[in-house]
Amino acid sequence: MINPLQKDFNKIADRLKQGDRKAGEEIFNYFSPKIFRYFMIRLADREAAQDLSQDVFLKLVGKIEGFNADLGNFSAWFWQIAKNTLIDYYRKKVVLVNIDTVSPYLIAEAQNPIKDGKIEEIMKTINGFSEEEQEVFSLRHLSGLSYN
Amino acid sequence: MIKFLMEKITGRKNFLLLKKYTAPSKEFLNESRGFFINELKKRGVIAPARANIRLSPLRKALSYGFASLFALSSVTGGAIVYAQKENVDFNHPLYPMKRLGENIQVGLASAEEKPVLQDELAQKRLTEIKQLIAEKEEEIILINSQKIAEAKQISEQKDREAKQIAAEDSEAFQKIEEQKKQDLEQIEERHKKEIEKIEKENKVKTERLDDDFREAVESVLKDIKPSEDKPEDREKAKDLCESLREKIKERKEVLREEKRWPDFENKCGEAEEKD
Repeated sequence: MINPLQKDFNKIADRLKQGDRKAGEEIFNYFSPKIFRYFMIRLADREAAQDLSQDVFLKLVGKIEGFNADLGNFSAWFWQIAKNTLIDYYRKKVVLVNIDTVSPYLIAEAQNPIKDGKIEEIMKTINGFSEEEQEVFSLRHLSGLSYN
Repeated sequence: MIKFLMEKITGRKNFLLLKKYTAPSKEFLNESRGFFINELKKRGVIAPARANIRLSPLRKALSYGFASLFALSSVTGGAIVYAQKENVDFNHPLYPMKRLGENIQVGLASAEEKPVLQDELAQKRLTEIKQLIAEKEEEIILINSQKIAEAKQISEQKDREAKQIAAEDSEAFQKIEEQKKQDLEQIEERHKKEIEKIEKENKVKTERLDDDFREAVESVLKDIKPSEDKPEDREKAKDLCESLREKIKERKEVLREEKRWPDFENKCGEAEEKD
């Protein structure tokens, strides 16, 4: 069931497919900050988060024609693109470092040290979570997604 | 309880800090939005922007004028109805709308209904005054509990530091004791100022409501006609006097000093029942 407080993104995606520019802006305005936060929590790297956020929207442009509202929910479909983008990013990093042994947070930290001590402490705590817990934390609490 | 509150406050602060840290910049969002929309256009997903339909300047001005007027009246009307229905309190942004609605009601009321309506308004003002006073007390309790928690935290921290140093260095120990005293005084001063500010703000609001209360009561008094021959009018005047007497008693500490209503004694007798 659709939460009455949430927009029906299946309809908005259909409008975008029909060429409605405003629908594109609605999708961007809603998802862009959430996706950015998701990448920030996973990578702790502002530049990388910006690049990946743009990649996700580029992929959306290429794939939107293939989206079928009868087969599933736009929001879930879109978040899957974001997750796949992150996995691709990790794969590229594996060439340099084995991500099973060194966390991407530590790689990013080495490249861009965080100046704020409190934030560093918080990010280290989050980094102590499992991958799945990090994902739940960022999607639920920072990106405001429901558990459904 | 205090420890729990402090943990809650710290947790909330950390969460807000994290939200700020993970938020994208406006510049990035604006740039990305433009990039995304351009890409949609390039790939033919959306069409280029439509040309604007041209209207004559007069039609344009008229349509804007009507649209603005319609929007303004709809919004104002809706806000008044909402504010009246919800009986919003003095601190609510729609409170002026509630007062506007009340003034309209009084303006439209018949001569017979008017004093009864004003009597109801006096009651509302009285309730709001009580609510304001209660809110002030709650805020002061909260500030005091925060003060105790902060003072306790500082004391404990300084005591710990002092214990470590006392054995080795008496001068440093003295310094920590002085620092602790200064910190505690600062906390005391800061909270005192906060309480003074709340009391001052609350006083201004209460005075404003007291003025409105007086105005409503005076308006009721103006309409009371106890000398009328009709028994129903005498009965009505008696009821209104009784209702006002109750309200005046509730704010007697403010009203007794001023003796602003000789009219009350003329029309209703003694303002306060003698003990």
